[in-house]
Amino acid sequence: MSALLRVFTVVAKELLDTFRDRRTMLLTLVTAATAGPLFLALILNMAANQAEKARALKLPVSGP
Amino acid sequence: MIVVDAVVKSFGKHREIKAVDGASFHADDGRITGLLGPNGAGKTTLLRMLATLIPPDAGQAMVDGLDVAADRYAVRRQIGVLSDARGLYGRLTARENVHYYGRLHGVSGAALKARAEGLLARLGMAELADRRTQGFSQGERMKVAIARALVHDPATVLLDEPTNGLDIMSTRGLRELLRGLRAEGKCILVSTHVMQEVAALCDSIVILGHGRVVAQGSGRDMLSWSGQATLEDAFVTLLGSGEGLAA
Repeated sequence: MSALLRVFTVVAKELLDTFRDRRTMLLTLVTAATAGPLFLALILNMAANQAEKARALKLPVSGP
Repeated sequence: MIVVDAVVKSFGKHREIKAVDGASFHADDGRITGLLGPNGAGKTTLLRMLATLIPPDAGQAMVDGLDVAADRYAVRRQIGVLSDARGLYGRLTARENVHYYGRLHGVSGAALKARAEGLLARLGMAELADRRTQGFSQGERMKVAIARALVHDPATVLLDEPTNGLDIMSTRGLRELLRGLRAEGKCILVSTHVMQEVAALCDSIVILGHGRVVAQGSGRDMLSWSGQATLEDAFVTLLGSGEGLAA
C-alpha cells in the first residue's frame, strides 16, 4: 500500500468524522464567516474615530 | 508462533517498577494460549511489547521469527491486536470503523467488504453495523474492536481481556470465532483473569505472577502440578499464597 493511499484513507476518515459532527462544523463555519466582517467593521470604526478626532482638533489657548 | 525469551520491562524514574521480570514462554500456531495472572502481573505489558508498542528493556520477543523491537513494522503487519475497546471513532458507524482499519492494513474492495461483513455477522453485529459507535455499550464497543483487530486476517492474534463487558451470547460467539481461527492455524494469545474463559478455550496456559512465568502447560498439567481439583485452586496454589488482594 502506497503512502499516498494511506494518507488519503486517513484524510477521508477525518473529513467524514468532522462532517458527521454537525454542531462543531456549523460553529466552525459560522465563526469563520462572521469573524472577518466583524474585525473589518471594528478596525474601520476605530480608524473613523481617529480621523474624527484629528479633524476636530482643539488646542488649548492661554491668556484671556 | 510467538517466542518470548527472558523479557524484562521496568517503569518509573529509576526503573523501580518491574512490570515484566524475565518472562519466557511460547505460543504455537494453531493453538489458543491463555495468559493468566492476577492484576498487575504484567499481562498487558507483555502484550504491549508483543504488539511492538513498547520495546523490551532486555531479552527478546519474536513473532513468526521477527523481533518485535528490530522488525517493528514487519511484526505489525502480521498481528491483529485488541488492547481495549477504546480508540473507536464515535461519529463513524461500526462498519466504517472496521473498514477504516482494513484499508489501513491494505485490504480493500470486495475482499474488505466480505471480510468485514463476515466478522460483523459472526459477532452478532449485523443490526448495529450502521449505527455510530458513540452510543454503544461497553460490550458492543468491544465487538467492534474485535472485528477491527481481525479485519486484515492476521496470522497472529493478540487479545487483551477480550471478554470484558461481553454478555454470555457474545462471549460464546467470540469463543466460536477464536476456535475458527485456531482451526485455520493462527497463533492466538489471549490475556484474561477469567478462569472460565481459560478452561473453555485455551490449549495452553501461561501463568504469570509478578512479571515472571510461574508455569506453562495445559489445564490438565496445571491440575497435576498443583495437586488441585479445579483450575482456580491450581492457579492460586501455583502463584503461592502471597497473591490475592494483598498483592
